[in-house]
Amino acid sequence: MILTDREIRNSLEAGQFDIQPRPPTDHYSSTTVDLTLSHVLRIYRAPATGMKQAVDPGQPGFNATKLINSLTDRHDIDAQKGFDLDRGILILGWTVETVDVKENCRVAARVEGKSSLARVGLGIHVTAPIIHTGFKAPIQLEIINHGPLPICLRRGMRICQLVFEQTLGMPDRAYKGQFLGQTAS
Amino acid sequence: MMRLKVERQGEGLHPNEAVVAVNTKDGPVMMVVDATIIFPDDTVVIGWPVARDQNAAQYLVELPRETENGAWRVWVPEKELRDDDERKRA
Repeated sequence: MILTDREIRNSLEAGQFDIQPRPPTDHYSSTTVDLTLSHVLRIYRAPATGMKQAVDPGQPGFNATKLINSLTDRHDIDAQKGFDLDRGILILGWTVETVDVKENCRVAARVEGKSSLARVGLGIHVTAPIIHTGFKAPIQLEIINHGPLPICLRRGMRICQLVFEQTLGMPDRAYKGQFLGQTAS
Repeated sequence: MMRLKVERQGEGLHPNEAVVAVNTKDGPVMMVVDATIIFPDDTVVIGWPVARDQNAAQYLVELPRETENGAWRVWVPEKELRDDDERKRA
């Protein structure tokens, strides 16, 4: 079951999960709450002409963060001009808000794009939208422009929305001693 | 709740992020976490272990974030865990 705006606010007040800073009232819809874009981006450098490169995630010791760190530069969105994201380009961004989903809250969340941005071609995740219990951080966004024109990103703009879903029960990690007397195979 | 020992390896891609290593039974694995979830004693909350091996020497824990090689759950030696409740009572 998806939580409504009332249930999201009630759950925030009850401390079942948290969003900091708290979204203003007008960032809610009936079943979602909007989050905003932080000023920090990571932008991939263009590979040199004639250079063949391939990412090999299946290799032992693959370290995505180290790899991305070596392939990208930090860019802070200009407060006045914003940042123009060209067509077909993937960058990384983060939400301003830190989302904290407690282990025992019987809720999971999903980050989704906003239709107003989707219509001009802006995607904000690449097939990995689930926010698991125990997560506490700003949400990393994989931002890509699928549209026909560059899209200007501005710090603090509404960039994505969160959907909270009630889970059936709590995960194993929320139960103390739940495996006592059992052994793993 | 229990906490898992981590070793800081460096900064992540965002100023709030830290790269940490977790010592598993198969060796260290890396993950990126929000730096604010790391306690001063270099531990992070992992809820409760989800399984243990027959000798209770290794525990299967779910990490707060996916590791760099895509795992959520890893086997860790008991010595890597701290009982958060015990710490609060102390």
